[in-house]
Amino acid sequence: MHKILRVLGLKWSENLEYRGDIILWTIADALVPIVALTIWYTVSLSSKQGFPPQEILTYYIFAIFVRAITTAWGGYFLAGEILKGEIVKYLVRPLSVFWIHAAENITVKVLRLILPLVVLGLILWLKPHFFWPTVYDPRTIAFFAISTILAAILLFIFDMVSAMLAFWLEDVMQIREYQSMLYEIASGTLIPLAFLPHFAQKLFNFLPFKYTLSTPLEILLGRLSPFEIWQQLGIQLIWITVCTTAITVLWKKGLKIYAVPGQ
Amino acid sequence: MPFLDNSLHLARVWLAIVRVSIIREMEFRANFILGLVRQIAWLGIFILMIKTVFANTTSLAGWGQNEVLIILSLSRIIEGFLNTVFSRNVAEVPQMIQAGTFDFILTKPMPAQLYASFRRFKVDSLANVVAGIVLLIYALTQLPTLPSISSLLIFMLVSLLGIAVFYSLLIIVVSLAFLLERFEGFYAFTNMFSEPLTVPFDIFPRGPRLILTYLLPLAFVVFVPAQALTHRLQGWQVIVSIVITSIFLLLAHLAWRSGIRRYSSASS
Amino acid sequence: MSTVIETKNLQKTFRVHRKEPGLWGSLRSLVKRQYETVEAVKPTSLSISKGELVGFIGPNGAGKTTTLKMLSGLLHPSAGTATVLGQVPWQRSKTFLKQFSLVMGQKNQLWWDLPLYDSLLLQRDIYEMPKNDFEESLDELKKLLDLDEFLKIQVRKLSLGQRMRGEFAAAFIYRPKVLFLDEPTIGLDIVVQKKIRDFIKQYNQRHQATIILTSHYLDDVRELCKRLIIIDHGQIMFDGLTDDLIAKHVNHKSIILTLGQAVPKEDLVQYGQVIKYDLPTVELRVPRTKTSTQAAALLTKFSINDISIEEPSLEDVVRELFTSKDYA
Repeated sequence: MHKILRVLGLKWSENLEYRGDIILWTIADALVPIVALTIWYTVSLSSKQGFPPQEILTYYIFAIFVRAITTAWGGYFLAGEILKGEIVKYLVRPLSVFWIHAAENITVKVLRLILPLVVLGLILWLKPHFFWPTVYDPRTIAFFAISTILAAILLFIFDMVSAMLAFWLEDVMQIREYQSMLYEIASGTLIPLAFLPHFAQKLFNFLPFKYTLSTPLEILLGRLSPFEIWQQLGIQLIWITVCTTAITVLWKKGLKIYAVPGQ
Repeated sequence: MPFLDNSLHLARVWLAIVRVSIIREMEFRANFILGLVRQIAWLGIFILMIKTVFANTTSLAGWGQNEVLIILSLSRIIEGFLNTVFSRNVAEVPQMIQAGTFDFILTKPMPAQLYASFRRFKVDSLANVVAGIVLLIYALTQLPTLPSISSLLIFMLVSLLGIAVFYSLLIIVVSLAFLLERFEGFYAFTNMFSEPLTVPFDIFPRGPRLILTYLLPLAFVVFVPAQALTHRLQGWQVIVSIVITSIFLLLAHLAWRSGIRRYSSASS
Repeated sequence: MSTVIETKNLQKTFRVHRKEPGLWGSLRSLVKRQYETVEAVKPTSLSISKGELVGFIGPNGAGKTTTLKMLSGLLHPSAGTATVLGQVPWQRSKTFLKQFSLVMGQKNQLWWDLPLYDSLLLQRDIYEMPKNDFEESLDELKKLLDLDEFLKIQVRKLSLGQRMRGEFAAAFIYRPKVLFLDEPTIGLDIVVQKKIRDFIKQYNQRHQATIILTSHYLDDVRELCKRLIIIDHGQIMFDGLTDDLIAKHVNHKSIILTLGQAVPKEDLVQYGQVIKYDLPTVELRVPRTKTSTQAAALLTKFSINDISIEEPSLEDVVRELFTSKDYA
């Protein structure tokens, strides 16, 4: 356990050195939901049915936060490391490669959330009617927080699973591009899932992406009944379990057939 | 005539690069096809998004569905072109600096900014251009009136200006790489700049719209050409376009030069 | 002999920010950074003539790479002047750039997914080589570097040794007059190192190219460089012939004996310092001036089956220089 803490500490000082970079990345990542926000907000202003502007606003502003908390990039680096043969350096270390990437993930997120959280806190405090009313209910916030954390774990692990494909596929990066494309549409970023035709919504229920963004947001906006909340949290847990199993299996299998590329 | 000689030299090198890039791409047929399908899929997703929007409203800040499709298709064409010719090359500069291979760019007998920007021709991004053209033709034919010849000429002019503006923005931002020590976020910037390009800028509130027109002039890359094609562009806007492009090209040159100067004094 | 490379009081100082250790230190540097100045290269003057193959050696951080980078035009000096082929390197004129080349060990400029041949064709266009010159140069390189075996194979499929030979081909194809080789053999196996060393030597002889080589492998330097420049802490500690260095700075030679009969150690100490006493082999370190007399004395006094006299190696010299700080 203290090994993990030490890695966390190391990653912390590593990341602090490159402070400008982190700020940039945070802003860049927030742009997709911001642009989607302006589209759907404009739509909601002129649309009679559908969702009121305030709900759209709440959805997307919190989407920025959920994304900031849940995005995972370790898989990209891990896939690259597998392709280039660099994972051998991890295999001789006492700490698993996943924990190292997880530590990096956590420290960067903590760093880049400091300012946005302060801003959010200020808005919540100074403008109590800015957001959709359910946001101000402590129970809702609690479930939202739990769901978001589960979403973060899920996306991180899922990201790692697809990285495993690097053991078998040279074109793994292309596959990962498909994955991020699917993420943007199936998570509810480009289009809030409720706007999609029913067959699409049903389809996306079977993919993990919905549970990495839409689910926590739906909880936050009070769109789920108490039973449904527990159900969705349960599905998140199931997906986490599935992905963790997948990683364990694929990692072992992958290492067996792994021929270190390069020399 | 050194200017002419140098320009011919650069053109010859660039053509050689294009030829070699196409050869390279043919080696990776599977990857190329996967990329092709993916780019078409993205187009499909955006079309789905537009259709969903217009299932809920009849006009998006004054733009009808076909007109929004025009914006989308232009964004694919222009972004595809940018990615093929230089965006991705510029995006690689920060990691080249980190890896120490940027020095190879500086030792070549040509302007470093040009070589760094155009040294690869990324054929796989061309699919966006083709898909965009198909969509554009479709969307144009759905308009009540086709654009006139003069509109088309103005469209081509502002498109070129828009490309020059985007190029300048990339160079300005990448010059930051010489200042910061690590700049992995650059890829995020290219995505960031591309993100608002797919939508009509009229949906942005006044503040952001002004910023995106005069401070970070992304409006000129896709939106203004789209305005040209849909009878929305006025004469004075073309003049503004020319002025802004010139300013940003100059800023880019200065930013790069200052960046290189820093690199040449600070890198050990 | 015409001077090709000349520097006068060339100097380079850097501002480096100091990283403070620990959690508190890194938080502090988030707000305010501490800088300190590093004098990488102290005012240096040197002069290299056409066709010389000069070695730059020194410990890590001595300033070798910094000096090379200034001569390559990659770095602007803090003070002083330099000219290479009559041009100021950091002005990066086209004339200068077309006539010089830089090879950096373990750093690649070849297109990863293309055969070497295509990268060379591209170099031809970049350096505006006439067709005949290119063909001639390619033929020569094919012979000297054994390129035929992998010329048409994609670079990413090549072994490290082949890749480095490819990098050399790309660097030499346009027949540069001045070359800077920064650790070119690092990480390569002995066979490839030798091939590359032979190539550098032959190219230098054939074309009178002026070459500066930095290397941690003293074999490179010993075999290739008649002239040696030793740099430490940004200063030139020695600039002269390699042989002179050895002669001047190491005042001893080694006498290696294979004894016919066992001799106790104490009996040998009067003849010189006993370095190795591993019967029947004995190594004595003897002052240079006394070597022949001591050798003769040993031969008469003891029963000796074999005797040889050895020069100190370049490694010995460098080790002494950098530990004892004994400079001319």
